[in-house]
Amino acid sequence: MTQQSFKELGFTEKLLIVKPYLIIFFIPIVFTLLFGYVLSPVYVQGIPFAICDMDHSETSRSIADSFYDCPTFKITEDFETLDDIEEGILQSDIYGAVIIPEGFGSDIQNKRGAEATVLVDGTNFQISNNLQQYATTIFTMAGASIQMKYLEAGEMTPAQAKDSVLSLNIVSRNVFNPGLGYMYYLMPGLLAIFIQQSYLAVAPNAVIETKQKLRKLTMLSDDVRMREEVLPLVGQLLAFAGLSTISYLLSILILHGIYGFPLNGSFWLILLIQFIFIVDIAAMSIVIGTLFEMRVHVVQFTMFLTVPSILTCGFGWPEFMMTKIFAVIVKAVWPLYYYVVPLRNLLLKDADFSVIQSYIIGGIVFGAVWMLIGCILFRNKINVLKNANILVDE
Amino acid sequence: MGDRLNDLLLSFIFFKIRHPNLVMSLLMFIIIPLASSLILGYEMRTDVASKIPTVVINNDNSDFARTFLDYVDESETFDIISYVDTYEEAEDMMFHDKAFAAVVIPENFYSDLQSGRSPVILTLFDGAQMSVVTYSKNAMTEILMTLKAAYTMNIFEGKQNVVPQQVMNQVMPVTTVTRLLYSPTRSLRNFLLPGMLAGIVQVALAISGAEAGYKNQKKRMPFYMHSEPLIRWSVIGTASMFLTLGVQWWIFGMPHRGDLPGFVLFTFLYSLTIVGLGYCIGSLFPDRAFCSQASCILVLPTTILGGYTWPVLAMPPAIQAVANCLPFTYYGDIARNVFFKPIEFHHMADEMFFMVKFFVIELIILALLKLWKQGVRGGKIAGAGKDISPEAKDNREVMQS
Repeated sequence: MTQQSFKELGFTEKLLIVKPYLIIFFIPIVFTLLFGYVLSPVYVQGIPFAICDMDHSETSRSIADSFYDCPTFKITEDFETLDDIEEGILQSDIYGAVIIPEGFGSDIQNKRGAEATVLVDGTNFQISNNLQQYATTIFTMAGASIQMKYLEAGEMTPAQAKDSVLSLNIVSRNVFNPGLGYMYYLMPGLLAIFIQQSYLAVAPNAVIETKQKLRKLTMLSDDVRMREEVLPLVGQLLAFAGLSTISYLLSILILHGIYGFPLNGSFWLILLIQFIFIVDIAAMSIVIGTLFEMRVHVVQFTMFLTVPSILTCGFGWPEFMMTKIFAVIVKAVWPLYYYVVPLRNLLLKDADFSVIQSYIIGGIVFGAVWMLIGCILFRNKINVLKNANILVDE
Repeated sequence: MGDRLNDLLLSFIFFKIRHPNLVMSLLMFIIIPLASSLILGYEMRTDVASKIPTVVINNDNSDFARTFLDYVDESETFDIISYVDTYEEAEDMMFHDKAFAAVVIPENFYSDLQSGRSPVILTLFDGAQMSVVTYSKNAMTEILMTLKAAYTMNIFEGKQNVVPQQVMNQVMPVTTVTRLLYSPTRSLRNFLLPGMLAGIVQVALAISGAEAGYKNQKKRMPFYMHSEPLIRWSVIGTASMFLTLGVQWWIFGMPHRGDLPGFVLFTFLYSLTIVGLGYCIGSLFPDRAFCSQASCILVLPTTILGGYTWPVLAMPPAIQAVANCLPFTYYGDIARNVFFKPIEFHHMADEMFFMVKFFVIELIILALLKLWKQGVRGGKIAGAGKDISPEAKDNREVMQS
């Protein structure tokens, strides 16, 4: 279409022409801004939690105060019985509770050993882990303080008592994501999905349009058809790839600049995995565009790929936890694995080429094989449609 | 053979062209959700992170250290894959995704322990693989706490002359019994799948709503007639949801403890809201494919915005306000709870009421949309009158007078 004829079109027609380019460019950026903001608090705090103190001793109040002081908990003392607490957890009014029984303080004073019960709603993994971890820490600290008092009473000096109680120290470090921030963990996966879905929202449609045009051009020679229709398709896919790459780089800069996401890894490697993924996903677009006859159906189908592809690509459920055969199939049929894992390793771990080379090689092989399959399928499908005289109009 | 394949392919293409809606409905409501449920159920059948590749730096060759490491290796959670000499080697293995956890035992660990010099066991976890860390960290803490308790018992027995019957009370003056209610194994599969599978079916619901809305966009029909496609697709969506979640119950042994009839009604109401959302979008835009895209773009992000994985209470206040207006926020929560908690009908009442309110608002929006569209169409017809011939215009004026 010439510049002049484009100018003559109405607003709606113009919008329909530029729509694919707008989608591929803006979807990753807009969603990065949105989800970066959603996940920006980094830690889960203020979780509704009940304290049921039946003892009201000095010791039990001191433990309750420790819970109040910890920002992870949002404490309520409105629940007085176990039934109340269970009902509160069923209603999701609270996510856990600590029950300090009557006689708790006197049991400790008389060295009889006291027992408190911590109830945690185990259905939400994120919340239950936080609650359990911080509740355990509070009780461990309380226990250590009491142990030291026992030891001091048993003719140990305070320093000896402290050494004995802290006889075995455990220090735990998280490497590559020290604060275990959920945003740092999730955003590379989300960004990969935004890139994948925005490309799939437009590229298979371009393939379908070309397929329909080629089907109609029955009288022309292969060379002319190639020049008239296939080369523009290649040009369109390349334009999508270019816009997608700009959008991808801008999204990473937004994550870094606005939300403080670590920006590690070589720029060229970040670009290389994007380039390989775009080739891979273009190959899949050709396959999908070949299999479907109508644009609207391909749009609908690709929307379903979001959830299954992110859950099977080794991001949330790592490869070592899959069966071998499952991992092989996943890597053979969808390319997200070759993109999302190295992207996370580059951004969070500052990975070098040696770390991601297996993904790069895998991605190249995937692209080559599926591009070949896609082209063969595309050519055969046009022949089948032509021979059977099938013309599909939407 | 080649001809037969060709015939088969042609028959399929012809069938697809003759019955496009049937094929897409089958694909969206049965084949894709069912396949996803089977694939994801198979993938995650181990439930939790197990046999996590672990690397060890053992700088102390004492029996005590070896016993501890045997204990780690024999646990279900960890699998010691390598012993290395330096911290750098261990970190390098984690850097290359060969190990996801590391244990560092310092030099003279046991002798320092005996002489009361408080040695430190360092554990490292790959923070980039959070789904593994959160589970493995708790498991490692439990192992180390048990070891510490055993050692402290020795101190009390030896140095304090406490009788063995009393020693436990002094080593652990405060015992906490932690009960993880409803999902005691901390299963990642149980945590993820109910909502994620519902997220797949909600895409089908939104698309079918958008398609029906687009189809009826220009039809003149009484307003109540719009309820037919809404109810039809909601019933189909409810059936699809139960088929998808049923795979987890019947094949992969996921529990279902909540009130089932209540959940059926709740699922139907939820389906109505999502089909209604798609229907409004389908009634608005002139491009069919864009209607599907727009409705999906509205519902897909709700699997995260609805707080299914990252809780709503941890989101910024503005997003919390948005999340509290999303049907998936309530559906995801109840879907998970029905699987694991013995919730009854009354526990879902507030959420059901929300769905009803949401649907009524959708109906109001739809009615306004239809009025607006009719106004626009009426305007166009009236506008078209300006171009008609003077004679016809005169005739119309005569008719109007």
